[in-house]
Amino acid sequence: MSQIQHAALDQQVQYNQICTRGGSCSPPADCSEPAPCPGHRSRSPRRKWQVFPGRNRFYCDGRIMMARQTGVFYLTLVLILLTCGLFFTFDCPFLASNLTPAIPAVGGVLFIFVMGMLFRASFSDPGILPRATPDEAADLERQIDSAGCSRPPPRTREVLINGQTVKLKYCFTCKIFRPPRASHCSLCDNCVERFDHHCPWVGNCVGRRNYRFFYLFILSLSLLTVFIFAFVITHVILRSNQTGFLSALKDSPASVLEVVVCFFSVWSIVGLSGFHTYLISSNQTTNEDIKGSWSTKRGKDNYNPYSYGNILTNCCAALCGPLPPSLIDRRGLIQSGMPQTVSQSNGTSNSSYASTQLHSNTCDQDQCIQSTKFVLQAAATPLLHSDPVVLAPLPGKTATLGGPCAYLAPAQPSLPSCGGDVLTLRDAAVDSRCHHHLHLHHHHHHHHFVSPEETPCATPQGALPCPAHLHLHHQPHPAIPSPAALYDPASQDTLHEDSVRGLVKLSSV
Amino acid sequence: MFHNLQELRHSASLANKVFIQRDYSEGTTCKFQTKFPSELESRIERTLFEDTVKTLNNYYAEAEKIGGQSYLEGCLACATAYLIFLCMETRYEKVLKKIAKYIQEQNEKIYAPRGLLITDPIERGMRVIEISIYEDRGSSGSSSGSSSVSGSTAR
Repeated sequence: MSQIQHAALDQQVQYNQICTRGGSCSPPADCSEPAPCPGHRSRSPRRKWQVFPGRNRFYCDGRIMMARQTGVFYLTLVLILLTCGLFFTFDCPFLASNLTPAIPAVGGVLFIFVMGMLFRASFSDPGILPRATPDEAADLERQIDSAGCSRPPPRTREVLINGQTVKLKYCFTCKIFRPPRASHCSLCDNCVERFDHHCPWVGNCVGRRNYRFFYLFILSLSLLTVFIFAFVITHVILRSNQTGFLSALKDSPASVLEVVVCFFSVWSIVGLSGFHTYLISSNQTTNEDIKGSWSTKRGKDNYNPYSYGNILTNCCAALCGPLPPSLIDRRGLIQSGMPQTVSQSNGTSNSSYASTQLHSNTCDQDQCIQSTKFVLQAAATPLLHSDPVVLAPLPGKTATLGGPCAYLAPAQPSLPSCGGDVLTLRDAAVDSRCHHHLHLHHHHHHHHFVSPEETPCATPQGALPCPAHLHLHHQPHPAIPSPAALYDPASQDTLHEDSVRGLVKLSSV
Repeated sequence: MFHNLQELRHSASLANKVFIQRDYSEGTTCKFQTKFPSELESRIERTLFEDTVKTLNNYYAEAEKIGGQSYLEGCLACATAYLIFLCMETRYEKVLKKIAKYIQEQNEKIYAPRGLLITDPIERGMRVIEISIYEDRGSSGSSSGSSSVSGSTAR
């Protein structure tokens, strides 16, 4: 692109920013004139991570990315560092001098490997699928709407993979048909390829790009835990042979703490390693295993189409297969004139997109109103109602982006303990990216779930990761009403009030 | 119609975009549908289009192939705690560079002279091959370079 066109687009960028920020700045009469608006000019190129639409956190100028809630990750770090620190400080000198110096050496190597794998699993992109550009989304919508006539158009596609029929679902947030094995993580608000689960201990989703690091992390951590447990006990026994049991404990009090931590960790982490070894050897994800997607209980002919048939090949493919690059290009520079994804309402657009960008700003508000309305209406219906609730679109509202929030179909709750219907209600609402009243409730509800979730995800009994991680993956299969007429701001305020009242009623259930 | 890529960007305007979707019939490996879209019928010969898509599919298959070389790379990487990728490129990245070069060459030789432009799928999250259709608007064209051919993936 020539310099002149770059500059022209830059001006357009600034013009759009001024207009959408409200009436304080009067727009320049002629947008082709270089008239800078005070306070809005920023010539430095921004990186893509700064405008990333998901709920991730970025550090080190986009090199590191994690989920939003990282508290449990710090707990993991503290536990590992504390236990290993105590081991190397108090037990290793005795063991090195009485047994062999190989013990701290092996321990050191294991520790470094564990930390390396933990950081790699936590800080890398799990395989996030970038959201659709406005053109793609429009094209898909056209295809979907043209397919059905009077019936609501399907938001699923069926595809035959190795003889097995797999359903591809449409993601409302990302505006794409999800590839097979991909799933939308509600905690991070991203679609992730080959989604396994969202691990709070690691502070990130586990997906295609970091599954092997996660697996190596838990495997090496279980080895390290067993190693420390064994040698701390050896240390205490050797010492008590010399000086007696109680004085041995008094001489090295840290050993007691280490034994306690390791004892509880061994059960959970070794169990989790075993579970994931099983998953790898059968080439399944945690998501598929919990839903029983490929279990023979669903049907006699049900089998896993992704498995290579051979345990060794499955393991090699999962651990030594090629590592795909990150699709989100978080450290790339934003070039003006590039199409932005659907959820962004800030500047960069060229002549053919300018109208859609401005339109999408008002449409975000429409969607918010529509979504609050359906929450209000849904509150009137019994929560465990299994029939889909189809709502008529609001009179006088635009629905140019497909109005996905104007309908609701409570999906079958995959986990009855999570009150699936209520969650899908929330989910569908949040899907329309409403950042007003619903956001508060979404967080509020999440808070209730996050605390029980944050108990060790591999419980001593089941060695299964906490199923509550996966409760928000279902996307509703809704019906689509016909698009409505123009936007009318007058009724917006009363509707907001109604919606707040409706939400209060809903949250009191 | 257009002599080269530069002319295309300066004197034409975007009329339409066609999206070639992914073909999942062989699983999650990257493969695009070779079905010829109707919007391109008057613009380009079917065989040329199919050749392009089939070559791209072959490149992606090569990148994702699980065999001796990928195992070696995986084990070596694991043994060095993945630090080796600070100095070395993964095979996937090498193939992606080859693909970017191939797409640029195709655009210059075949698609731009017909008023079309292919966007590298990596810039669309490997979901679609985006083909932009340009119309010649004469001298008053404001080109919309929504697709950049030289795919730069800074990591």
